[in-house]
This record gives sequence, C-alpha cells and structure tokens, in this order.
Amino acid sequence: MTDILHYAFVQKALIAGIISGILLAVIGVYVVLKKMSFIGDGIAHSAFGGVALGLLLGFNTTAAAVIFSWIIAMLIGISKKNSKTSEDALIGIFFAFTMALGVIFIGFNKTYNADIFGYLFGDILAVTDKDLYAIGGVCIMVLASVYIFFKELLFFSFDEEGAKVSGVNTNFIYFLLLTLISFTIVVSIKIIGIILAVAFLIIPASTALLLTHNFKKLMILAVVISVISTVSGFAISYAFNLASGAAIVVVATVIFAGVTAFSRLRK
Amino acid sequence: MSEIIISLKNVFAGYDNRFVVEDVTLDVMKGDYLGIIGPNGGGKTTLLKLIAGLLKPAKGEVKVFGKDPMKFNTIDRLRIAYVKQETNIDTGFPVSVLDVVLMGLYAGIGPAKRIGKSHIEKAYAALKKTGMDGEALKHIDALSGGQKQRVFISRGIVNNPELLILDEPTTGIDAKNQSAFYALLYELKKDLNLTIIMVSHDISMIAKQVTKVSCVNHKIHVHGEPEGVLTNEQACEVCGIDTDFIFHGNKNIRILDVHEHKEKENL
Repeated sequence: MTDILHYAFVQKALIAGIISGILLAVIGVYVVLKKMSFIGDGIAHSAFGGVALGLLLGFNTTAAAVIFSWIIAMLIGISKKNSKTSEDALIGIFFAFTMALGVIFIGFNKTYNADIFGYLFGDILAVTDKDLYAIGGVCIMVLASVYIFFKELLFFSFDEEGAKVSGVNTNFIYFLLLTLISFTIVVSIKIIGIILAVAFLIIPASTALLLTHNFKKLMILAVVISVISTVSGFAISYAFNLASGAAIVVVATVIFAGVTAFSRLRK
Repeated sequence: MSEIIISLKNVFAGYDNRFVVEDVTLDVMKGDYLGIIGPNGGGKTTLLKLIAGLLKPAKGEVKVFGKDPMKFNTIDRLRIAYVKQETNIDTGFPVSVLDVVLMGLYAGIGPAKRIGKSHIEKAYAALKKTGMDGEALKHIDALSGGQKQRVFISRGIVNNPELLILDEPTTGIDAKNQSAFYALLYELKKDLNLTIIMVSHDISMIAKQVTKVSCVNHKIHVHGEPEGVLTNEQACEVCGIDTDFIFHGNKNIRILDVHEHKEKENL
C-alpha cells in the first residue's frame, strides 16, 4: 500500500485531503457551536451552481464556485439581517435556487462531458496542481483569519448579543464566518464533494465536543479526527475504487459513533 | 443636579411593523437604580435592547451618554454592561468560567492580540466581586443558574462600566439565592458607583431596592419612586401586580385589596 505514495497524483491527493481536512475541522467547530450547519449546507449546495457556471463559460470551476458561493453566502447573510422570512426558509430557498441554476447551466452545456459525480461526491485523485495552490491559498487565508479573530469568533459563537454589546463588531464577524465557510467548502469540493461537504464540517467538531470542555483542545481534537478520517478514507477509497468523499465521511461517522458509545460507557 | 445618562424621547420600536414599545419617553439619571415591571410581551426587554444598542427604534430618539447607542464605538461600549436572562445562554459550550469573564475584555484588547496575565488578573478580580473566584476553572455548565448569573455579572463589570442593564436576572434562581443575588447587586452598585436598570417580576425586591420604578405595558404607564408607583392603582392594573402587600423598608404597606379584574379572571 505504501508504494502508492510514490505517485505524484497520490501525493497531491493526500496533501489536498489533509489541508482541507484541517480547514473543514477548524471552521466546523464554529459551525457546530453557532448551530450554522444548515447555512453551511446551503453554501455547499450553492457551489454546484458555481461549478456548472464555470463549466458552461469555460472558466476554472474552483474559481467560479468560490465567487458564486461567496456571493450566495453574502446574500443569505444580508437577507437574514433584513428579511422577515425566517433564516431557515431563506437558506432553503437559496439552496434550491442555486441547485436549479446548476442543473440549467449543465443543460445549456451541449459539449459538456465533465464528471459531475466527482463534484457531487468527491474525486480526490483528480486534484491538480492548480487545485493544490487554491487549497493552499485558502488555507493560509482561513487560518490567518481564525488566528487574528480567534477571540471575536469565540465570543460571537458563544453569545452574539453579549459580544455586540461589549463592543465586538458582530456584523463583521458574521460575514467573515460566512466567507470562511464558503471558501473552505468550495476548496474541499474535489476531495469531499458538494453533497457531503457539510457532513465533514459537522462530524469532526461534534465528535471532539464529546471528548472535551476546553475550546482549544476541541479545535485540536477536531483537526486530528478530521485528518485521520481523511487519510484512512482516502486509503479505503483507493483500495476499493470508491468515491473519496463518501469513504471519508463513512470513516468519520464510524469514529463519531465509537466516541459516542465510549462517552456513554464512561458515564 | 445629577446628570442624565439615558434619554428616550417619543420612542416607538418593535418587530415586523408591530410596535412593542409605543411613545416611550424616559430619563435615567446617573446613580439611579431603575426597576422595570410589567406583563410579559409588554416591551420590557425591547426597551432594554434599545438602550443597549441592540435594536434600532422605528421612531423617536434614544441617547445613552449623549450618543445614539447604535453608533457606539468600542470605548463607548465598555461603559455599559448588559446581562440577559441566563436561560438564553447556550449550554454545552466548551468554555470555563474564567473564559466567559475574559470575553468581556476582548473588544478592549482588540483582534490579533492574545490574553495576558493582566487580563486574567482583571477577570479574577471581577469574579471575586461576585464571590465566584473559587469556580474560575470550572466548565460554565457545571454551575447552577444563580452561579452562572453571577459569572455573567462578573463579565459585565470586568471593564468597570458605568451602566449595568439586567433582564430578569433571577429567572430560574430559587428564593433563597434570589435574596443573596439582590444583596450582591446592591453592594456592586455602591462599590462601583453603578447606574442599574433591571427588568424584574419580583415586586417585593423592586420595592426594597430600587430608587425608581417604571411600569411598562407598551407605554410607560407610571414612572417614579417605588412607593408611589406600587401604590398606584393604575400601575397595579396595567402591570398585573398580584402582591397584596408590598414590603418597603421596615414598613408593611397594604396597597390594594385583591383586584377586581383578577377576581373576574378567577371566575
């Protein structure tokens, strides 16, 4: 099995998988604690519209999906702040609309022959050099933002009103978090897929929450669980020729179930 | 003459074009201890949110320290502390008591800077004032409702604010601990030279401690010293005061017979 590590495409896949695993776990901690998983799902699905638009216009799909998802994330945020419609319903509307746009864009694309299945469920072996640069760039941007606004993100997730009254710019932090979620999800599409991306935002953080009451330890544990799931999921997907995203999510869910059983027994 | 620190002029506010606060005009002087009483849904919390800068009035003018609280900068914000109902605070969050109090300092510290020794000392000093310094390293969920509320007060006073806003601070606290909690507030007010605004259902405590009472049911129906307000038939009617005896100082003041409207309700 270790022989495969000599192949360049396997190395790229592993590096991309580990980086996106770290990103998803770090951002997932905030998504879980702030109970934003549905908004994460909405943003992930909106990436489908972006990918389809990129294919139609002949753009780089990752770049198209980043821009498209980010715009949708901002629209969800702005609508939430200004609309009478509930946040849940708004996300549902954007979610369906962007998926529908994606299907229409694909319909227009007569010459289209790309592997849509790969975008939906992940195709880690298709990671290119360009993808790797995009993932690396986003990783630096996301981790730097989390470092700079670590305190503010924590307070915002814990008690948004309290943070606002005490002088934290909660509007800025909210839109920053939406931006970080959309960027993280989009660069992870190749590895985990649009449909499953949100699962991977939620599972490592939820697993880690069962193990610790300390925020910093939570983040480290989520990253460790995420990276273990990514690497072993990748190995399984390679060995059995399965979709990488699906294999990774199954491994992460098995770890979650094991930790849940363990924490119950401990009580 | 003492300084006006909060001034509301003909303020209307609410949600979804429905006014919960209607034509409220109110001045709070430095050093006041204002108790706000009134029925549920009568706009008490909305009034506090307007003062805390969490809600924009639809009409009218809100000024706190001479400025619109929606436009407060960080330095202005450090002058006020807002403690909402304990039950609204998320549980299961991986933070310690000390972490929660430190959050109060975050906006003053600013992004990208880490917590230092002096910040931890300040947080411990604030915890000491509420008698919670011995619990600093416990997980926030390990505390009782009353203890949690003391921690949130500590977070509020960690910046030595001038104004403390409390929304039903004793919800979920048993009677014995409620008395201790009010005694603590009284001490803090004296020690820190605070102005306090508190929404409470606890009429006997309001009568004992506060210097002013506002009876709010969408409008301010009666405002003045507790003895006057709590013996005012209209105030009792509007605010649904169901105590037959109010204890104020050493005197027992019988304010009203059982209200006629209550007897009707009981039929």
